[in-house]
Amino acid sequence: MAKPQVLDAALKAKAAAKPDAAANLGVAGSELSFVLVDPKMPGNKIVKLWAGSVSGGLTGQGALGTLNHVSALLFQRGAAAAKLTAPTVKGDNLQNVLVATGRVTVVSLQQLGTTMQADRMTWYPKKNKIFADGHVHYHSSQYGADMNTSHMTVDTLLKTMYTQDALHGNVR
Amino acid sequence: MNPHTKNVAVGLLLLTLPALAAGQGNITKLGQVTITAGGGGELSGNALRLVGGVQLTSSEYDLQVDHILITLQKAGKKGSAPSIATATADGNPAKGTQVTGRFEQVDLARTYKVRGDHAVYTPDPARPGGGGQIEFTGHVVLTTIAPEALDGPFTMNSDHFTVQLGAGPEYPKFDFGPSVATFTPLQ
Repeated sequence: MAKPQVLDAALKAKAAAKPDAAANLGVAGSELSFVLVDPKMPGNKIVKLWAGSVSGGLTGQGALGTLNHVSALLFQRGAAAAKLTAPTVKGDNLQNVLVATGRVTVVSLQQLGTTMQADRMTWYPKKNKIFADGHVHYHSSQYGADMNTSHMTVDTLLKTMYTQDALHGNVR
Repeated sequence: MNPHTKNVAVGLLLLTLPALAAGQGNITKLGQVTITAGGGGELSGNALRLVGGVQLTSSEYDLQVDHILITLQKAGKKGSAPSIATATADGNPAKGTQVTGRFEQVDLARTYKVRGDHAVYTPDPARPGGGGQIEFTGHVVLTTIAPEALDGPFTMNSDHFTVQLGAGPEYPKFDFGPSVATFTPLQ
């Protein structure tokens, strides 16, 4: 199996110089992993991501097209807060927003036993919020609670959740 | 009004439903609570707030409230502690709705309906099989139908009414303050 390619500064520079050469970078279709660092706080990560494949290649601004079969660590204030897995993630503008589609799963790394699933999730790292849409299911093993709704807003840790839509669920 | 209907002022009284002499069965642990909230909700830490036509259903009760705040507790080492530590529910005076509870006494096949302006649930982990109590306050009305003894429903009005919940056949039990009961004996 080919080793995952790490997107480093050299690749970004090459892409910026020749935006039409994305296909020549060998990124599209390949496994990919990278770490996005907060430019304002260099020691802090925003997201660490692994993708089984990339489609759409690398754009001139160093942004990725569509990432497939994704597993990502979402960070808050430099600490890993949650793990996200999704069939598809939009790779552009990742430091401001991450859009995951397909059946998306987020597992809190600090609120043990707390998970959320939805058809689509949009994560805004600077706002520390995840907006979940479509067949949303929130589960807390700590409190024995399961909640289902159409739309839900949570923090990256899945510690708080909010919905204005009808909610169905159960507690132990 | 039926001339045979009686209004009885009742003092502090513990009303205990008679247990069956035989076939009481084993005390099983109370199960999960199913929740529906038409207006959504919010979970912050261990505080769960639900609004807008909230319905909570378990094997022991069926509650309808306009707004409820539930304090959740963790599962514990065995992972089986009930989720609900306490709960406070309100009706909606503007809409004229109260907290409404329906309780089934399975062995007697009797349904009790209780409604009040407010209700507070507190668990009692010492009770066999789990359980707790729901305390109704404010314009409380209890209604039940006992066709074998009465002509029509039995109604009790009070300012304070407590429903004791548990897994045994003797539950639910009722405690209430000064009340006025209305019922019509069979001729």
